[in-house]
Amino acid sequence: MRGSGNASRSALKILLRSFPTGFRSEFGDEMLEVLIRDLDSARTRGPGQVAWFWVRTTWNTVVHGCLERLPRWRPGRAMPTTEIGREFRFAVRRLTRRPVFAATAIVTLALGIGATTALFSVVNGVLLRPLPYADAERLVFVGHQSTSDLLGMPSGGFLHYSEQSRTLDQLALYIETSAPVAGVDRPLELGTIMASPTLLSTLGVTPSMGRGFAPEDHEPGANPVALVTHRYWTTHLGADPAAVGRPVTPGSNQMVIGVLPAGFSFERPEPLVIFGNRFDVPDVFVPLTVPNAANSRFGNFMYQSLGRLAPGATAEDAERELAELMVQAAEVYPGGLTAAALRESDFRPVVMPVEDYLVREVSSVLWILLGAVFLVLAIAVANVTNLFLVRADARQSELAVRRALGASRGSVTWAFLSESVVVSLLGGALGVVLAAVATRVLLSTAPSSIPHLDGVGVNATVLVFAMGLAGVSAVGAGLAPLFQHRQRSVRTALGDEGRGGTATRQRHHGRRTLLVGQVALAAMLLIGSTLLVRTFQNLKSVDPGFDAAETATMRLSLSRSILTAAGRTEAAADMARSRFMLDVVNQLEQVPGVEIASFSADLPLDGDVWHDHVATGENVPTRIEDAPRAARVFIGPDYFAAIGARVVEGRELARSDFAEQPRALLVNQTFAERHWPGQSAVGRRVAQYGPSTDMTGDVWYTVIGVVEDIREASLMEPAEPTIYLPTVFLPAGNFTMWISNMVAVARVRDDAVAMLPRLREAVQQYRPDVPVNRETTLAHLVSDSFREVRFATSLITIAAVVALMLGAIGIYGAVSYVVGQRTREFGVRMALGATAAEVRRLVLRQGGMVGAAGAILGVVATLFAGRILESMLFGVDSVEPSLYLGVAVGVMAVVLLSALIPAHRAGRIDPLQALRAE
Amino acid sequence: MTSNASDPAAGRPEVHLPLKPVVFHILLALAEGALHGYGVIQAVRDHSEGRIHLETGPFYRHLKRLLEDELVQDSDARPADDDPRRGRYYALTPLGRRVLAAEQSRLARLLALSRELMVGMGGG
Repeated sequence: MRGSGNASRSALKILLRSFPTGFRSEFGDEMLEVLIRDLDSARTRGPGQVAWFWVRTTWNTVVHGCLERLPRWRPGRAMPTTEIGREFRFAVRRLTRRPVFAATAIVTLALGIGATTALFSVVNGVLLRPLPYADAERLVFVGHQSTSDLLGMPSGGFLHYSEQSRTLDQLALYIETSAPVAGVDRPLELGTIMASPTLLSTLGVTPSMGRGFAPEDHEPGANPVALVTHRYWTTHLGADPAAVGRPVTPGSNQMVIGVLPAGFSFERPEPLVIFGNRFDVPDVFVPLTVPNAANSRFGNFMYQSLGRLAPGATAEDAERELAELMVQAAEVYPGGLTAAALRESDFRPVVMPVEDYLVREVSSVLWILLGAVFLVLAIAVANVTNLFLVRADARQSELAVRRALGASRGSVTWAFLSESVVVSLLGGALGVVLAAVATRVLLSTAPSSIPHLDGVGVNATVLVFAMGLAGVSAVGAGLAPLFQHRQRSVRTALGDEGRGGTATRQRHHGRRTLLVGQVALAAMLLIGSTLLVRTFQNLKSVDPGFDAAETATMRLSLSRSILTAAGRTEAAADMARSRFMLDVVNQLEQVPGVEIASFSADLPLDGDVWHDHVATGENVPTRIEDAPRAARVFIGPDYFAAIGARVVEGRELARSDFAEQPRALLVNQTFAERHWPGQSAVGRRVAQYGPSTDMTGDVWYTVIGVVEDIREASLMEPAEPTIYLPTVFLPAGNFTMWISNMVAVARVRDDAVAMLPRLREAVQQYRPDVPVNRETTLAHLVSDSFREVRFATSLITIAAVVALMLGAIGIYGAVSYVVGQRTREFGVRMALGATAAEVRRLVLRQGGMVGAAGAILGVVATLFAGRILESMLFGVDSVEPSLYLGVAVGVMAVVLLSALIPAHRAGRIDPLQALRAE
Repeated sequence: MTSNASDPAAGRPEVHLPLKPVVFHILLALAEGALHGYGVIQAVRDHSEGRIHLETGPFYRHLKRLLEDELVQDSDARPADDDPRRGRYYALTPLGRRVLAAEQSRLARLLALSRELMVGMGGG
């Protein structure tokens, strides 16, 4: 009559094992019968019902079986709540009676939680913050990559991709530029985006006031119009509802046609430097005229491009598709790079989620730092857990008595948890306070290359994170003793008491494992910090190729009126800029204290370096892809004297060279040695490849001098072959739209920082309408160039020191405790003739074993994990043996030192007293 | 957790209120007389017209609590047609009856109050 087979019965029995033993012995058989009757009735209703029976029974039995294993806790009922409340009151009372234990645990946790929360708030604000765009996850940066340079988008590529791509719904072009604005007290620069018709729809934004761009706004010769951000509308236009239809700035012929909604801002990575122009957050959008098909090539990468992925398409899909389209584009729009050239030079499209693109420079640094502070937190939690383990030993007899008197497992659990919950909550709260302070400090020292730091702060997400950490540490520290406690019978616990025997091997084992882990983590952090400190020292001792001391610099925005002063041709504008800068240099040299002044388009270590394909008189490849590449820098006369670089052969550009366009250039030593090894470079000829590769026309320059290598791009990398061209050849671009920035450089007798206001004043007196910004010194630029390393170094070093301190405290505490426990044993040993030195050695050996195991584990772990630091290292091998050995020895020394005091105490035990005390 | 017997509050029905709907149904089922586990489950399913589908695992957890709280006890009463597979029989304790009555009157007061308010608000 019983329909269910033995298989079902066994399966149900297995499921019922989810319930605790006591529960099963009481109800197990009954439950099995009920389930089988249920199953039988399901069988009468068809196989679907049987399947449903198994699904719900499995789920219900397992879930409720596990729930039944938890201590019974009925919120809302008077009796248990008061019991839990009572347990917490007891916990607070017990903790106040042990202020040292409580304070140590709380402060340790607060340090760990505070550090982790502070860094998490930075990561949360910078890396995890949603972008202010609709469907931001579908927005992608679209560009190209050749070797390591991330390039923009040629108009030919844009037209072809827009037309052909199926993975991209929309594609937009833009150029980021800047325009001087007449500010309240001094002229300012204004970040401006020249936007193709599709940019705003790609970003998914429409104006909240006025209208967006119409197609005719993008026609050449259209009335100049502009959209402004809500921020600009409030700060510069007085939040005037009638601002639409008025000029962007007083006197401008650019009319505001609309205001973008509040909360929208155009995000981009820092720092962005194009042709020496460094931009503020863009607040103004103007129409960009995209070249038509006849005027488009696949060759000029001056445009930036954003796209919106089609639904279901990924960035990888788009990258694959564009790789095919790119070769077609080069054929459809000839005159630029050829399809063959693209294939041979490993040229490829890049499609990157905008979120990744924005933080690509800083994300690895931040994640590494967050990892480092997590290690500190782990050490802190381990320390607190250890404290609780020791504390649990002291409470063994209390808890044994409780259990003997009939306390349930749940109430014993709460007896343990209540203390750790109180400690963790207090530690968490203190940690949040520490984090709020630390975040402020972090922000003030953080490198400016980290984007949108303004969004960083202790907010709800961060609070939840901190409380989560506190919760995890509460459970971890509170339950660890429970696992030990569970395994001991009442009799052992009570029996131990009063005899002062050594604690069981097992309890020692748990604590020792924690200590080894702590030492290992501290060793890892120390190795990381030592690697970075070495890197930092190496960077500081690098010779950048110039003398950074006492050189003041500032950036000038040259407006259209200056560029067009000499006439409305591009060549005239190129000359006008240099002439203007020569006048500025003359003004600067009038300032007392200035030794020599010059100018350039870029400064070393200040943003991206541009490259050209070049030919020399001896080597003129017919195909551009065969031509060697060189970094290209535009400079003024006496530039090397002003920045303190050494011209080793020939001469540098003189002011007389700038009277007209001299076809002269300088090269660096690396360039000279690569192209004319062992020979003189002066008098040789060098050409830049332009859009056409036939090398006709004015492309040749004569080398007039060789300058010692200057690290233009990064202190970390040796100088590339570099050519230094007179600024008169720096293209002004389409000068009706482009605004040009130039850098003035002044070598002063002493204290360049103090000279900055006087230098600015000199420029402003000469031309009040020229915005001056980014006044700084070369020394500052140098130190700023390794700001990320410095930031990471200081943070990891602090983390390592805290970790080592916590580790030492942990070992000191643990060894002291063991010595206290073994007082009687040591007394017996000494009574039997052991010397104090022997007892000391015994204790030290224990500490030493933990230290050695931890150091070895830490070293091995770092051998694997250390590689993630590699990208930040300079001049030091991430697996350098001497360094690892040094740290291991150092960690051992600290461990032995912290065991020394308790060891010394053990050696002074008076055998008589120790034995009598029992 | 100490047992309820030692708690002076345990004898008062109010501390057990309000009851979960399922628990209310279990007590209702037992109010008719002693029942075995499967019978209670069936009764709850029938009484609630299938709205409460009491699963075996949760039921026995509730039952354990009710036994611990002394609202329910083992019963010696066995019907003549008893099948030994049915296992133990359960019945309400006097406290269980008082708790059930207290919950009933609490719900009745609640219902009366809500009717009164709905009338006052012009609803209905």
